[in-house]
Amino acid sequence: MTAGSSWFVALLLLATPLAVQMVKREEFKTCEQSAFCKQHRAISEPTGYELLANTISHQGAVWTATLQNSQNSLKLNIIGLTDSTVRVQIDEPETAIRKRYIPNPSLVAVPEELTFDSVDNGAQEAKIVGGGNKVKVVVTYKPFLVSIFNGLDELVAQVNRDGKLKVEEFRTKEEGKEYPEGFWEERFKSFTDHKQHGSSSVGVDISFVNFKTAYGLPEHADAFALRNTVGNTDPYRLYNLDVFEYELNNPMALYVSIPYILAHRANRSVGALWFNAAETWVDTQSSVTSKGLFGKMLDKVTGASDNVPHFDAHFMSESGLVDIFFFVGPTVKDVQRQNAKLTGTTPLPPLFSIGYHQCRWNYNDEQDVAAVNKGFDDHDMPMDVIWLDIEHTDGKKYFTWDKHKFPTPNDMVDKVAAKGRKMVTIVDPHIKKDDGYYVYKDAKDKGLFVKRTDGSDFEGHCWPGASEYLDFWHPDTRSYWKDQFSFERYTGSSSNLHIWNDMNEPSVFSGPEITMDKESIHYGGIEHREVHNMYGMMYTSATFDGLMARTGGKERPFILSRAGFIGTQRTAAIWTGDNTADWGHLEIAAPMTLSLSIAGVPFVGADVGGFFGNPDEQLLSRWYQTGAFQPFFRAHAHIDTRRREPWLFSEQTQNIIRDALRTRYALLPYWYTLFQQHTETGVPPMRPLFYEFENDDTLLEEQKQWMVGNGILVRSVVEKDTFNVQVKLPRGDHRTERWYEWVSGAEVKGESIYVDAPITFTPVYQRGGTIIPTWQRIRRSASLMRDDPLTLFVALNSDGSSKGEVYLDDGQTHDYQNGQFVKASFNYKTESKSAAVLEGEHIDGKYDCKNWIERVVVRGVESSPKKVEITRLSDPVQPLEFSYDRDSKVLVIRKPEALLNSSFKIHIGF
Amino acid sequence: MLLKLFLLFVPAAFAEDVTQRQLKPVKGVPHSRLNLYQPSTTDTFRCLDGSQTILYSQLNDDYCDCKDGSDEPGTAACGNAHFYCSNVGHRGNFIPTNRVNDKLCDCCDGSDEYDSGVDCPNICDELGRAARIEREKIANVARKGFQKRQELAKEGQTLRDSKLKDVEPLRQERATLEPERSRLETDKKSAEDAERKLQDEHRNQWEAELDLDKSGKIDKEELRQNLFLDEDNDGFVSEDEVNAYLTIDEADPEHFQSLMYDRLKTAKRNHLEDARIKEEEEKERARALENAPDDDDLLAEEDRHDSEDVTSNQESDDDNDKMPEYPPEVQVASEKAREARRLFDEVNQKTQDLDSRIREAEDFANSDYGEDSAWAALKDKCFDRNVQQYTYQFCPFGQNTQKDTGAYSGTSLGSFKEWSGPDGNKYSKMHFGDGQQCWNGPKRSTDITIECGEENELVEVTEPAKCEYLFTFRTPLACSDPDKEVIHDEF
Repeated sequence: MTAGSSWFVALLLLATPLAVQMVKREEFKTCEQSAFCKQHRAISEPTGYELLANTISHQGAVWTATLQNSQNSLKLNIIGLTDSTVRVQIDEPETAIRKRYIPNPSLVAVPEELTFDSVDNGAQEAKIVGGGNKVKVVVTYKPFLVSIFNGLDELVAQVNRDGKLKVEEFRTKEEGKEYPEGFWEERFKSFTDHKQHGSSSVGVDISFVNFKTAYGLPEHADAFALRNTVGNTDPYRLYNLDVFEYELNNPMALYVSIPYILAHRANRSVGALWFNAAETWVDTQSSVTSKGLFGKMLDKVTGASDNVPHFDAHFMSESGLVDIFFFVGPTVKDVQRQNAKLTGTTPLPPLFSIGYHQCRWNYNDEQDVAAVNKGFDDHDMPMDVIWLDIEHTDGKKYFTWDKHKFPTPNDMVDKVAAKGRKMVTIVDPHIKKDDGYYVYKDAKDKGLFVKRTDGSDFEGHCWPGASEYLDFWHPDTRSYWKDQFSFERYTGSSSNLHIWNDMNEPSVFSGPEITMDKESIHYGGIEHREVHNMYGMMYTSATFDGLMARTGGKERPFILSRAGFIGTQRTAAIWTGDNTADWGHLEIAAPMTLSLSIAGVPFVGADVGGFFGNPDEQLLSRWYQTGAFQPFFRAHAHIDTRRREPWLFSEQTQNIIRDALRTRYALLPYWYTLFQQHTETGVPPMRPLFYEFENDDTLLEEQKQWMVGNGILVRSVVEKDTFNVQVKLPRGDHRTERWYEWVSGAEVKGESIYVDAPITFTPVYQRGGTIIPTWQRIRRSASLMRDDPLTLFVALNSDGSSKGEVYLDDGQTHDYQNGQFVKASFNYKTESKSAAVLEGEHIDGKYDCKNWIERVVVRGVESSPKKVEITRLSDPVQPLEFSYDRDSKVLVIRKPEALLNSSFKIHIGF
Repeated sequence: MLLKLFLLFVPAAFAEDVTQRQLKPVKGVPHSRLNLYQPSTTDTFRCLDGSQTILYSQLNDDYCDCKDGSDEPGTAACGNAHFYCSNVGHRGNFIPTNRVNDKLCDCCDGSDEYDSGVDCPNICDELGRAARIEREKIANVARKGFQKRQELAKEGQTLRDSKLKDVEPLRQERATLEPERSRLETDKKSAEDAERKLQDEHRNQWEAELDLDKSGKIDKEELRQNLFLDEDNDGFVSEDEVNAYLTIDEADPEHFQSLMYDRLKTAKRNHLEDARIKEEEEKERARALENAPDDDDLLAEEDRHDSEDVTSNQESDDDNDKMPEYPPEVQVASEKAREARRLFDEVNQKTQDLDSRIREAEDFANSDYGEDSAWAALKDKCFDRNVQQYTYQFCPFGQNTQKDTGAYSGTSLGSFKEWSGPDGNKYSKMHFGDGQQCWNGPKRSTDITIECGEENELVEVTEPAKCEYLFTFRTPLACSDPDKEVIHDEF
């Protein structure tokens, strides 16, 4: 935009106070305004570290040496871990005046070490082989370079290839000595940040060798595939911030920071987790030429010459360590599992939470809640959860209720629960400064708040006005917080009430960049700057402990969080924060949720309808159609917007919304099974196409289509006034993949097709070779459908076979951990021209489930069968009725009445 | 929506002969529709939409065969079917079949949960009794309300009639006045024309006076001969002083008339006035020197002086009107014009008053005060409700407001726009719009739900979305005769 036109826009904004104001960019730092980012980004010459060969030592899974350059010396650890994972850690030496912070609480447990298979410390380089020969590290001494190889002995990543390694050690200020600008204090707007231990930043370049495309670094409102920031924009910024009306397509920080990159090419993947909780910037660049400063060295180790593509990421953090976990795959699902092993998975969510959530800032009072609850029934639309935003409290004091609007919260929740539904209330980490508020009083007395450098309690403004912020590094805070969720303590709570943790970046209206001053102090003298990005995660994990404790671990908690970090997935679902009711925000929801999914956070969604502004009926319709196929499905709206419960719209829009909701509820057994599989494999239910078609290089940039599991491809319409869209249906390595339109069941030919998508239609396809379990009896809420019979959708692949799985349990308790679940597999095989069989097998679990199979729909059957019969365990053969549609080639088998917890065979004779 | 569907089917139910045949009961189907669900002679069942014929044994066999769901009225197998709860002792009703056997008791007789393991007690008697009491209560209110409504309707009708009745004489009076009004208007116009003509002549004459060389145009030199333009009182009219009045080289008559005359006239008058004041001041000074007054005198003198000033101001205003520089014949014409204007204005005012009274009466007569005009009785009335610190006010055909308790003025929540009830029940809702603009939001508006009650009362105020208000107003005007109402128990 030219200066002239921006002046004009500014004038327009002044003239029309109602115009929507965009993000206030000037509230947030650019790299140029951040002393350490500016400094690291400016590195153009190698920093000249070399490894001192005589310092090498190794024991078991740890290989250690000292690095040195003209500035300082550092300690390098190469640590071998299980499952093709290796950790490269660079710290200050033992002489450091202070320990650098490692964000260990974000890991599942202490990483499991695995002794190296072999170590060969040569004269110029050391070869370290670990993970049962699945990973190899070559450390070059001079200049210092770490090369990572996968189990196929392919070079996949390098550290310090461009020589950008820089670690500023903690200092004590010496009078009279000169320091660079911003070393001891840094100003931004009216705020001054005092760095007690001096500038202590770290940075290094990581190169993903032989990869052109990489993903990750959530959360940004940007494309799914990482772009080149070098020479184009600021680096991607990871610093959890509450950004008002965020803009699209830029690398500005948002609410979540997961410093993880996944690089992918045909059939190969590698992941790198930058284990650091401080503010982080990442410059990214994809190049095809071998321009590394160590070109020669590279040639030597790779044997390759020029034209090796590589994706480079320059990580820069304000504090902490250079500490990188490499997951060497070799396939993308291997990488996902390796990451999950370290940082955890989302525990099986309660069934209701994958249904539809109805939220608004705010449902005003108990009558309003009752009316919304009833509205869904009156309009025969399924719904599982009604949410209450901040206005339900007494003066934004969490755990309290506005006595006028919510005089009988227990009754209210019970009435909602009487329809099998749940409620969620919001609980934020800022605590109103009010001696009459018991949480404040208790926390004050016990010293549970984050402190200023002078030891007094940190204070900032948030919803309630003057507030203080709980310090979740303090063990007493964690146990106190846990207790607050007991049914006795939290008035109005019950096992039907779950929790929403918002504003946990933390959001501080009066603070620099709307967050907490970096110099603030946490328990144990930790500076906030060292841990900022994990505040939200530490908060939700404490809430999780509380929800577990309140039922003695019996019931599964549900928590939604806005802020997140590595490991957030273990305790909370994440939504993409305060989006806007426009088409761009609808479109960005998929890349944002995909990005979170591949970074290990699978239970994700965007506010349906858009938080700010008023969606028109077309946008709202398309948003419901899209949200129905994204993991966390919640409609939400800002307090200044018009009401938008589905029945307030035209008959057509109501029908579209009802259809979208029903489509979602029909697929709940599939979603639930995918979430269960995620707990075992780490693979997210919502996946990019390349997860399923790993060999297809043409899908690397795809972000309008995604997969739900391995069986459903979605290309919802996210463009205004668009009623015909292009859909890519990957045909696979052998050009044999088959696809079926989800609703009609008819096979769709062609790899890139144009599909009519009238407002009532969402392009969704089932992949041949999959079997998808569904519920076709859509009731008022998910829990009421739990015991209902299943309809299986069997889509045949090119050899006439397909397979699938279903997992079910009670939907709400942890009894599944004691075997109270059922897992069944289905296998359809075409045995000959005249015979096919669908075999159902109970593979695990002892849950006495009531579900039976009421219908089997087989797609892609070439001719009508002559007969269909079923054999159940020890029963005689019994004929089944069926119907066959010649046009769509769909066979419907009527009422097999097979149970999931016993095996069966359906024989189809042609 | 559900109800409509079934109403469509009802005629079919009666069309068939349902006389003495012993009908087979079918779960989920009311007796009145059982005939549709009887086995054919070949023991089949035809889907009600005619799309398919299935075995009779497949009716209610917990598998959905018919596209319209009609084969499963008694199970949850079809997503689009309805189950009938007979609810003996209370009211029978349909529920969507997706509520059958879902572990929640929906029918008061518990018949919907026959196979879910949940034991739903039959509470129809209890509910029926309570419902009858409630119905009676409501009917009582409605009865009393309806009575009041009839009175109010009379009142409204009378008010309306009287307004309408008033209109005719007003119209007649208006018509009688019209010839006079129009004659006076013509008189006024001709008097004013005459006045203007003379004035123009006078101006031209003055121009001619100023036009010393009789060139038909006034140039700067000619203007400089007029001492009243000597603003700085240096006894001489400078080029600059003239330039303020004559911006071009020379003025033709048209330019003079339109752009110069009035300003020159004012300048001349001011000049004369200045001279007069100066003269008086000098006289004053001379007097003061003669006899020094005491304080009281001084004050009195000031008072006198003030009042003199007022008078002289008035005089000068009059002067302005009279335009003393016009010669007497012009002044006479002006006087005539003024008189003609006065006469016309007098009559015109009368006709305008009449017009507005006619309009008001017509508006009233044309406004929609409900089927029986009863709402006319509430025109210009308002009803308050206090909710915490606010007082809300509903003024049926005026403007709704919200004000802080004790505050003088309130915020407009919109003015009456229309009756907004659904077709067939138009008077059950009102919409008020175009209220005060909300910060970052819409203009405030109110929707009013109108219910039957014994008294006029604003019973509920909510704000479901910011600046969109919802009032519930109870009034006898919404009561219909309970003894004439038909109670539909079944279809």
